[in-house]
Amino acid sequence: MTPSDDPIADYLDQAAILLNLPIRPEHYAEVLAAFRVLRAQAEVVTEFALPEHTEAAPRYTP
Amino acid sequence: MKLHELSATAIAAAVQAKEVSAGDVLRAHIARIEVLDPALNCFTDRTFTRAATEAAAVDRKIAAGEVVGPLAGVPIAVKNLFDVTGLATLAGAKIEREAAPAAADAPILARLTAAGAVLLGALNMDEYAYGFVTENAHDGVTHNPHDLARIAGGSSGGSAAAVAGGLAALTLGSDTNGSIRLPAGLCGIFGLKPSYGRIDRTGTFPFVDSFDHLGPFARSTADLAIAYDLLQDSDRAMPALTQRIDGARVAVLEDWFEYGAAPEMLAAVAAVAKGLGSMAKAILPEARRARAAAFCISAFEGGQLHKANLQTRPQDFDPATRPRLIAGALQPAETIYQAQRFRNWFAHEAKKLFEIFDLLLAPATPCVAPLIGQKTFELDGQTMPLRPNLGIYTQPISFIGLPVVCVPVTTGMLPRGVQIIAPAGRESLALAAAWQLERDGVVAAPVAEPTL
Repeated sequence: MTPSDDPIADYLDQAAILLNLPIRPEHYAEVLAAFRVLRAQAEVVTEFALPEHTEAAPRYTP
Repeated sequence: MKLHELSATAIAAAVQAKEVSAGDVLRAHIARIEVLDPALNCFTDRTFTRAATEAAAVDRKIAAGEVVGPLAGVPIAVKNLFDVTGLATLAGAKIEREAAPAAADAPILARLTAAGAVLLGALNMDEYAYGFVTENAHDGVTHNPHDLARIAGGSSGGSAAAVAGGLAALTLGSDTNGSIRLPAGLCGIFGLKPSYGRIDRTGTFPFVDSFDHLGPFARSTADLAIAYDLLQDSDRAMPALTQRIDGARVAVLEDWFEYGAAPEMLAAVAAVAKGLGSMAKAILPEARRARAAAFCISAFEGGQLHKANLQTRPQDFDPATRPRLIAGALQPAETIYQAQRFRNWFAHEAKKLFEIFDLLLAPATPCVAPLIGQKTFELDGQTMPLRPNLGIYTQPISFIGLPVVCVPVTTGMLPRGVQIIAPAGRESLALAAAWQLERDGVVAAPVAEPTL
């Protein structure tokens, strides 16, 4: 593929193919808008430098 | 006082004392529903025939001198994501209308009916619990009993509005990101979100396994406590409602939990703090990131849960839900992994804060109930989208599973909810604080009388 000037849209398009979750044309604009909101929130999380020994919060208990 | 104005505890006491029959209580509530629900739109299913059978059984037991439970004759209802025998468990979704009727009640519903409660029906919600407004594309909008032009909040909007309007004395709902606390606050009633994992979720439709909680709505703290004690076996709250908590160290959360709040919301928090004898302030660090992490995990787990239907029949989803679920399911693993790591870090920060304080206070919402259909609101001087931002003060707390009682400040204007947040496992302390505030007249949940 040729990258566009919108990496978020590029990611969404490829993820939809790879994860087999096609986005119908009539739903595309609203899904992209929702994904942009999620990316902005994700950056708020991932920009924070956690101590390296911090584990994920698992719930599984055998 | 009219029967629909009585608390669950008062109804059960009156029924047990033979001052009124369970049948009389049921008829009064059915009459209330017939008059008000066309305007409020709380109920998606009515189970009045079943309710009549249950009420008659209570009355028969009392006539025979048999022991009845602590909810004898109390009319209840449940969010429509709870299994109810003979009904499809809708979870607010068109798709689930095709589901087979539930073969049994959800176990926690069964606990309430075993205690003598009488089930009136199932209640409206945001589709798949993914929302804060209960403006459901399939079942319509649930209106706020204090002002029919305003939302009841969500996602357990039907559960909150039914209690606020006197259609039921007690209801059950779920809270993933604020769906008990937020509608309780907007509708001016009490709501309890217990500690994560405290109450069995069997027989309820999931949304986000990492954060889903179940809990009760009521018009008194005692009703919340009696329901809580019935809904689980590992804790008892009723004994805590006998003594004041004057020695408790209470603090108002600053920083994120003041950001963008309307002055009247901060005034409500201050009134509750004053009622608990505290002027202290505290900061729960990085709550903004906790909210963001909860936001991403919710979209991811919800999207993955519904992926099969999103692949094959996206047109059947509520337009307000669909794009967020699709986008959520397609997030990179990095986001979810780092969000779950952050969850551990943030929970540790909260534990440190609870070494200094016993209870923390925060608004349930940034504002009073918005108008139905309202798309934006003013947050810290900026115009922001309403739907994703109503839960900014509730999401960081459910993210780490802390127990919260939402108490209603209802004097003089539209209701304002205040979260009383306790350390994990300390529901009783939050309930005791709410009970003290209620007894002192700081908080109250009078039945709303909608203008039809």
